[in-house]
Formats: sequence, structure tokens, C-alpha cells
Amino acid sequence: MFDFTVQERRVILFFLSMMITGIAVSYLKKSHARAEILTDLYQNIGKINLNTADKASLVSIPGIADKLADRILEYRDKEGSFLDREDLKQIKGITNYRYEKIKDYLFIK
Amino acid sequence: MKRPLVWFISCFSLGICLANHLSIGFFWLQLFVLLFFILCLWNIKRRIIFDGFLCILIFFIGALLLRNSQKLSPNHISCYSRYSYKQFSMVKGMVNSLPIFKNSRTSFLFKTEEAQFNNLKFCSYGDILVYLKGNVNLGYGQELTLGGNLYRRRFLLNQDRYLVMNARIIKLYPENKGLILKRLAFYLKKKIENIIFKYLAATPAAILDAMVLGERRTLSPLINNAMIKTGTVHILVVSGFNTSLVALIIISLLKLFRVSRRASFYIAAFLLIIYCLMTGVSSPVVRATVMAIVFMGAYLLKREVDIYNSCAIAAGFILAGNPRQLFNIGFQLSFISVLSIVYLYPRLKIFFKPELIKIKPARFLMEGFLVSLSAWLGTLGPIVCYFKIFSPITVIANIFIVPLASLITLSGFTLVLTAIFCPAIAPLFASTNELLVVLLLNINAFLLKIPGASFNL
Repeated sequence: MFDFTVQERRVILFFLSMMITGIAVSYLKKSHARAEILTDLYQNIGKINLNTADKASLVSIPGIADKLADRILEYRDKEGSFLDREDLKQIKGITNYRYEKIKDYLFIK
Repeated sequence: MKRPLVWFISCFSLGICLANHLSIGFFWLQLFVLLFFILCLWNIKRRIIFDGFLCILIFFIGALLLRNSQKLSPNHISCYSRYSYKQFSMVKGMVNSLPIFKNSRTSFLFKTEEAQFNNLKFCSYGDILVYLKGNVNLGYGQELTLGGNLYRRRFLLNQDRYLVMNARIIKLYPENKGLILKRLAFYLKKKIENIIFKYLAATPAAILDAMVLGERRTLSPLINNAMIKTGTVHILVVSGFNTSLVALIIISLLKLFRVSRRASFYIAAFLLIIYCLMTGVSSPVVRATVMAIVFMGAYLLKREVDIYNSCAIAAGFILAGNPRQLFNIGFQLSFISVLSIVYLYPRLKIFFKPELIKIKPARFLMEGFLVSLSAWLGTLGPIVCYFKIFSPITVIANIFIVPLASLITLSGFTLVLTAIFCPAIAPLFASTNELLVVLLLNINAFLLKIPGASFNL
């Protein structure tokens, strides 16, 4: 019917076998995938909300002293609110090292 | 048999249809695929039996591919919407299309990366259609966090999109995550649009924008409806017709500059891909782009060009990416019109014998009539079925409007090129363009006035 040589038929079958395997793997991956939770925001219990925290709460975090707490509150008053914890890096005195140290004590809501 | 690809794609498409209408599970389809694969292997040396089993195998692969495309991973954004339906949700990702401002809102496709519902943040993927209030200045690739309500919309299903979000921007990120090629395409599109609207009056600019770039947001609904009634609306969307014109312009220009055949093939193929991206990667444009590249490749390799085989390659290319495109009216009309012209035109030519007409313009008109008639006969069924409109005037309208539309598109591209390289003479080309557009609208209006031009069913 199609005048393929045996070698051509082998090539076609090889190509199709790759395709079939690909479809099966893709389907299995989709079937067995689970919704990957990146963050559970309920896990913030015990953490401090950057958008509502007062000076006393901020000072209670290891790595934040009086002066830095004032600067954080000043920044929050100026900008309205924090949208991301990384916004803290824009405050004078919060280096990458300090940010890594304090970020786990904070959350944003 | 000269056209195995045509057979393969036909079997593949039939398989997709079967899977769409019957509820056979993936497991059973996979079992059939394996069975026929083994039978093919078993009979590899028996020509006819092998070919028969191969067709059945490809048929089931088509069905299997559709089932796979219907299966969504739990990380797909539409799966989350089951429990976030009509609830405030937040999604992070990037703008995946050129934002369009229409009806006092900005719309675009949004590629999601993270989704947040009910205090849980998930990893997600998949595109959603986003509407923002007002004219928001955003670009392709812009990273954003959006907040709003997610809704399901059925009309988006065949395009691999499921959800719509009426959103507001929560956060804008400075990064641009878009693909360089797509960014280049959208940059060029914006540049061309600016030129069109700078040099032409509003109506001709809107028509040229639709014809050259496929943008119909500024097109008056009155013009659109008038073109639908005469069956010439296909010139107002970017289709194979436009792509072939673009290919023709590129190749002619490259020939003019004495660029070698091989180099002009690569340049033309690259520019056609850019044009395809610029116009929104719709089925007719992808078909025409693939067919044009196959044609040029065949010319370069000095191989015989077969339009049926190149059509099959284009269809395979589109369906392998998204098998649900088979049920898209744009895909169907695009392939049906090309195939009906290729199949019916030579037969009608034998019947009507236009070569016997001695006067050249009359012969040209007769040939145009036969091409138009072939396309009309082929697409009559789907058009009546989908649009509930029967327009006998289409056959005559296309004879006059298609050559005029080609001229407008060509002069449109000339206007763009002159506006870039020699802006001083661009207004002259703009005037010609406006004249041609006015002529097109008047011819269309005249044809529409003929009694029995079109019937609403």
C-alpha cells in the first residue's frame, strides 16, 4: 500500500514507539502528581505579621534592635504596607545576612 | 501510494474524533495501541498487513493523544479553581500575550506559576485569560501577582485554557520573563501598528491593522458584519492568504538584493515564524507557515512539491501540539478551503474550460470565479452549520475583493517599509492605501445590495 522498505518501517515503528512511551509517561505523571503546597499560611502561628506588628513585637525577634524596629515601622508608614518579606531589604541596616536570620520569624498578610 | 502522510493524518484525526465522542478510558486505548504495535512488529515483512495495522495503530495513537491532552495534572490552575470558584484568589506568573485594550478593559493571557487560595500557596501551571479595569500599561513577559475571582468559560476549552479572571494587580515585578523571539515579534507588531495608525485615517487603519496583523479590536462591527454577509471576512483575519503574501514579499525583496537561494530560504523561514508569532499563532497562520516552509524546503532540496502532503505535515504539526484544535472552526475552514481549492479547481477547470476564452482579462476573471467557487463549495457546509448564513454572493465577491485585498496588504507592507526607511514619501503610499480601502468597502456595500446576496438561516 505505502511502498515502505523494511528499514523505513522500522524507523516508523521506532518513532511511534517513542511517541507512545512519551504519551504514557506524560499521562502517568499527570495522574500521580500531587498539588504541591508551597506555603501553608496557617503555619504562621507564632510568627509576627509585618503589616500589623508593633515595636515591642519586632524587638522580640533576634536580630532586630530598637533602631531597626523604628526604621521598619517608618518604612511601613511611608509605603502603606509590606507586600513581600523581601521588601525588608530596602531598609537601611537589613543586609542579606540579617534578612536570612530574621525572615523565618515574620510573615505578611 | 504517493501520499502516506495524508493517510496517516486522516487516521490520526479519525482517532481524535473517536476519542472525543466515545468515553473509552486511557488504559483501554493504551492496550489497543500496544496490541497493534506488536502486530505491526510481528508483520514487519508483510507489506499489506503491516500497512493496515500501521493505519489502525496511528488511529489509536490519535485517540490516546486526545485523552492525554484532556487529562490535567492536579497542579493545573483549573484544578485549583474547583475549590476556589468565585472566591478571591491570587496568582503569580507572567503576561503571556500582547495585552489588548478594548471596551475599557485590558485583556491578556497569563501564564501562572503560583496560586494562592484559602491561605494555601500552591505551585501551578497553565494559562488563564485575565481582564483588568482600564488601560493598563503592561508588556509581554511582565511578571505579576494578580488578585481576583476565577471563572470557568467553555469557549476557551479547545484553546487549552479554562479560566477567566477579573483581576487587579497586587504586585508588579521588574523582571521580564518572556521569550526573546516572542518579545521581538510583539515589539515589531507594536511598531507596525503605530505606523499604520500614524499615517492612515481611523477606518482604513483599522482595516489594514486587521488585514496585516490580525488585530480587530478597532474594527467597526458594521464593517465586520458586512464582510461576513458577503463571505469575505476571511480577508480581515490573518490567514494563509496573508502568510503567502508575506512570504512572496520577503522572497521578492531578497531576490532583488541578490541574496543566495539558500540564505533567502533561512531568512524567509525565520521571518515567517516571527510573523506567525506576531499574529497570535492561530491555526490558519501555523498551517500556512508550515506549508510555506515545506514548499521552500522542497524547492531548495529540488524535491517534488505535493500540496496534500504539505497540508498533512501542517495538520500533524498543529494536532500533535493540541489535538483539540481539530474541533476549532478556524482549523477546519483553513484546511477545508485549501483542500477544496486543490481538489475541485482542476476538475471545475476541465468542466468549464476557461482556456478556451480568448480575451485575457475575461479568462483571468473566469479562473478567479472557479477558484472562488471551489472554496465556496468546500466551505459551504461548515459555514451554514456554524454561522447559520448562506451567501451565494461570496463566489462573485471573492473575485473582486481577494485581488483588491492582496493589493491593500501589499501596499500596507510597502507603507510600513517606506515609513521605516524613507518617511518622507510614506504619506503618498498612505493615500493610495486609503483609496484602495474605500474602493474595497464600496464594492462590498454594492454587492450586499444585490437581491438574494445572503440569507440568514
